[in-house]
Amino acid sequence: MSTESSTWPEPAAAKPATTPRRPLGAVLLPAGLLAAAGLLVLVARNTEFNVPALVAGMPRFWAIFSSLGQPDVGIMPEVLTRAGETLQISLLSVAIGATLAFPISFLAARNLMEGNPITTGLYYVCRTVINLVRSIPDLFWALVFVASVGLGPFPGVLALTMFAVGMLGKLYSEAIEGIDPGPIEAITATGASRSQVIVFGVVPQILPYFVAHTLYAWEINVRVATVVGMVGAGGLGFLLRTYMSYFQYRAAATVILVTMLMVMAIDFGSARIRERII
Amino acid sequence: MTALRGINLSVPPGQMLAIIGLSGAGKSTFLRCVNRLVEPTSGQMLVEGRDVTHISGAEFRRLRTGIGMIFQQFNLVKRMSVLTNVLTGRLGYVPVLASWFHRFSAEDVDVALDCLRRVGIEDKAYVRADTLSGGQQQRVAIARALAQRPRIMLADEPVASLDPETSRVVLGYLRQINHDDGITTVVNLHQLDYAREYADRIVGFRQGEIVFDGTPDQVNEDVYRVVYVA
Repeated sequence: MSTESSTWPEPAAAKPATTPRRPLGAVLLPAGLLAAAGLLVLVARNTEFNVPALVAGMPRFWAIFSSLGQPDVGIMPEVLTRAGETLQISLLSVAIGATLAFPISFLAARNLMEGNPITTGLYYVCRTVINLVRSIPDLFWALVFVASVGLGPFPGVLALTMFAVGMLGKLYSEAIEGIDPGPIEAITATGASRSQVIVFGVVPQILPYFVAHTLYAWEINVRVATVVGMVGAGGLGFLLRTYMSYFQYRAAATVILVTMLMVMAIDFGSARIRERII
Repeated sequence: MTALRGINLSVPPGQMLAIIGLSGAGKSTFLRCVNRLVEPTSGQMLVEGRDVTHISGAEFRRLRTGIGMIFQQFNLVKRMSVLTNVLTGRLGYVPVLASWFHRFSAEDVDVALDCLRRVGIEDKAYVRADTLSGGQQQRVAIARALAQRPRIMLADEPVASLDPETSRVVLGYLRQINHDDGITTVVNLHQLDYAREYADRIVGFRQGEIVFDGTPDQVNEDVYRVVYVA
């Protein structure tokens, strides 16, 4: 049973008395640090962490890395075409992902769904779907779709759509859960229907967050689009892998530099817009 | 736990009733049982002679449309204009599909503007709600409730977030609407002096029970002690 205490600030909780420091801590702390250090040594061995190999590999690393200073500008037209492809993959996948995530996010918002066993059940179903989609790595989605529909940008769009649905489903539903319940109560009290309460009480509160989250998802998607390309899902990543496997480091450098510029430009622009909205 | 116990209260039409009591006495829960923002676990709530405890669907929405409510925190949608906020008071009357696209008839807009005029802020109709002061926001909330064309008005601590001067303005409007339109008004207040000044009748709640029921001039030191002091 609810009471009216929610309309009043709760009295500040009494501070718990600080427990006196136990001398045991003086023993436990060094022991804990020692155990942690031992664990890290073990982990380093398991991951074949090897300083001599790193030193031996330095000349090759440098050969590749220094080619960033002398990119092959001759392949620029091809790189720009692929960059356009990556951009388009990310745009289409965010658009589809946002469209799918929008309705799901309302069903996955606890504050809209609780209070009725059927809607509560639906809430758990939608939450679980979002979490399942998110728990599958984007590269795995790309591998699955490349195997299903073949090489090229299309499997990239499909993989990134899954990625965007998972990410935006979570961000949108959390935005809904963070809204002020006051206007919802007030509009419910006018005799408005459930859909009207959502249109007038929920949507105006979440709209700026939805726009900002969608832009953010696009930023991330551009980056992920270049990575999933490496498994054959189109765009800059595909090009990068091709050049790297033929040891054409200067061509690869061009791809990397263009990727960096594109990602930075989009991050900057999108961040500016997001700042202005919220 | 039980918030309300053995409440038997009848409010005659047109009365302005103030409910006083400490925080947690059950005033808010009682008010929310009238339009069932809180579902009573047992008992009956009669509105205009009709048992509304178990109604549902369109009938339930009609009940709520006939009952205006204002809140301590105003509960306006901050990013919408003042006018759109007041128009949400018309949602019980308008076609659902049109309302999804924020389409309201000219008559509904006229009603909303008229309600804003009643509380003296028609000049703010097109500004965003969160640009207004607290007192102005509460007046918009009153206009929103008025736009429902209600027969009953519930006010849950309407002035608890406002300074004394603004509080008198807001309570003045509630009193005037109660007087001019004959809208039965139930207002929760924790300040006894406001209750004495504005209400026809005062009911004291304590730990979910009624401990006083009388006219403002019957409120004395003893009543104060029974309602507020341990």
